[in-house]
Amino acid sequence: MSWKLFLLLVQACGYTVLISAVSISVGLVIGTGVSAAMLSAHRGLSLAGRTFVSFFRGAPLLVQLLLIYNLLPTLGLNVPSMVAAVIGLSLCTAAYQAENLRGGFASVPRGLLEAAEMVGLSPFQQFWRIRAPIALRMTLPALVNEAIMILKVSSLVSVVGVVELTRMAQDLAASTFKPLQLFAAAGLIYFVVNWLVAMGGTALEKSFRWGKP
Amino acid sequence: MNTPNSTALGTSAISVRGVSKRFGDTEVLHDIDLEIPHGQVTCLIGPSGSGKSTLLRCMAFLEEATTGTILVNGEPLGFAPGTGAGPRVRLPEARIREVRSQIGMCFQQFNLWPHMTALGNVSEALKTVRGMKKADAEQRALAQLQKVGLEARAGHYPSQLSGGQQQRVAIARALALDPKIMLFDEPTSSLDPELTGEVLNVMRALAADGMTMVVVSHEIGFAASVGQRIAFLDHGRILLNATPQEVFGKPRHPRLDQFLDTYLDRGAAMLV
Amino acid sequence: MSLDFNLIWSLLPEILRSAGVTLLVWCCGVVGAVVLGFLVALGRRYGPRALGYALQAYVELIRGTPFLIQLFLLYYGGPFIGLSLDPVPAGLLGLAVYGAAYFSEIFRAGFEAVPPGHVEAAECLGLNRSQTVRRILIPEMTMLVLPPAVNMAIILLKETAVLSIITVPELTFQISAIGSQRYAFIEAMFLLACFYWGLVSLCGRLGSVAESRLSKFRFAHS
Repeated sequence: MSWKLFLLLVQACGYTVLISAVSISVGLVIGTGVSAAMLSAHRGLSLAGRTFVSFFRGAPLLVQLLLIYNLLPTLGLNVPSMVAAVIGLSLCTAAYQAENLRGGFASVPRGLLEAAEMVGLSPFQQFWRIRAPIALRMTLPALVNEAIMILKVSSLVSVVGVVELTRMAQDLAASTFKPLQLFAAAGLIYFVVNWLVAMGGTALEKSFRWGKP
Repeated sequence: MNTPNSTALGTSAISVRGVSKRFGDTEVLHDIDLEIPHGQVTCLIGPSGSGKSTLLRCMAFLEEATTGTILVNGEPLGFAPGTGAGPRVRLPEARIREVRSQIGMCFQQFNLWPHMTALGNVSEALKTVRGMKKADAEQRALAQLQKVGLEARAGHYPSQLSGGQQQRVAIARALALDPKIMLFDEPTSSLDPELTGEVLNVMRALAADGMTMVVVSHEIGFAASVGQRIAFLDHGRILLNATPQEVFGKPRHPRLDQFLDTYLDRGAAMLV
Repeated sequence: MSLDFNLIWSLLPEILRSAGVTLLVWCCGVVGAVVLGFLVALGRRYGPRALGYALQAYVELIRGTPFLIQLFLLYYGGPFIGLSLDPVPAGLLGLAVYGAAYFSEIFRAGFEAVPPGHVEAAECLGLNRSQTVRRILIPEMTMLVLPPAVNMAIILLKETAVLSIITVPELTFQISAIGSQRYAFIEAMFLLACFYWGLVSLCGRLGSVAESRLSKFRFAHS
């Protein structure tokens, strides 16, 4: 397999990484909000949060992408396909991240919040200074797993016309009649990227050790 | 046996009047009346399940009493004093926080925030609640850590500290806010026996300085030697409330004898 | 947007057929994945070292690459190594091989969660390997692996939608076709999403019921 083809794949991989990174970040922000909604005392808000999570974890991502990609223009949002793809991926990962965060928030020991209450921190301060940082640390492994997951399922955005790694491999396979080499190469690139993210995740977890050996 | 306090009603540090606490169908505290005098160490002792921790937590408003009133330096905490008829009026959150700010609390599980160093833990409220500048807050926090003998460990995280050290940091954290009253909920129960000494010494020093303290503890030796009032609780009621000499002196209340039997090796041997 | 019920009624046979394909591929895929995954876990635990390494490589490759790439390799690349499969068999095989990697990890964790003492006791009493596995490991593991296994099965249900990309005539494939033909793609997709959502929720609920029913067989753990 020629270097030129491989380089084209690597280039397309850049888009895969870009789309994934943006989706995970946006998903984290949305997920925090959804998680807060699920945990809130307001019944309507918590129901809305739980419904959001249930739907975006219940329907296949492919169907979600097809739906959103075709829905956006009808709402007047004529965005490039890459943006539509990011929106679709973000909503999906937000649901999974909300669920991870919810578990994280729930596992913050109540005593820590009581101590915060006793030294006078307001509920708002308790959430942002104590609960959120600890919950985030506890959900870090799940977050890294989610990042790897998004990198893999980003392959589905090839269906809505985004030229990322999978689409590029498809196009090149069709024009060179070498599907075996190209898909194998694409798979290898995905594998290496995921491995790097896993390594990065481990390093990140180490820096949040808070003194533990 | 209840001998009257030297302080008159209404000028106590904490006044507990007619407090009952119910969890679902279980009544854990039954019509408790207790006056916590200023500048003295009051120890709440009793078997597990007697309600002493619940009573302490009600004083801190971490649990809301089902009925009754709690006054801190004469000011109502949580609920306005009942008029007898009608539902209780809950005071606004800002008011509750204001009254509660006179109280500092120390927990059995220390409850240090794991993502902050010892210095961070102690200075947090100074920065966030009192609005102090970081440098000032940390200076004050360091002084507080010095008082409990841990200024060398200021940069350590809780996971790098022993249990006794963590509890001392927790005490420093509460003291940093200049409370008038300190509550201790079984401060040494989670510690290995050889580490309880360092914590009890800090508490002794605090008492010698004249701090008003309410201590729930199984350390009967501490209660007998440092406590100035002992309240013995059993099944949600105060059976005894008097000086250590009166409470521990013979002849003893039979329930207290029963209770002490199980704690003879915890320092109560000196009382025999 | 209009829901023409007469239209839906006339399309019902096609829709049901494709739903049948989804369920068929899913069930066979799950069964295949469970069996293959269990064999892989067994191979890694009891097999020779070389086999263990090979199986580990398989598991990590499958789990580290997108399902779609694996399908493309199988369906478009297969013929080049003599494996010419129709969409449905290719989809089934792809799903089974993909799921097996994940199930093997679930079973591996399950094996390790069974207290070693129980296995040692069995060996001391004279049970051979096959008997130990059948009579001790599998029963004890079942309760432990049930929740993650149910979870994985549900994930595989959602993955069947991806098979539409290699033209397997399952539900997503059919509904997309109908939707775009009738210029009602968005409505069709939305209904499709709700259908999967409902099915996934139902399976999740059934899984919880099964877990709680079987939990009375939970063995005491030291």
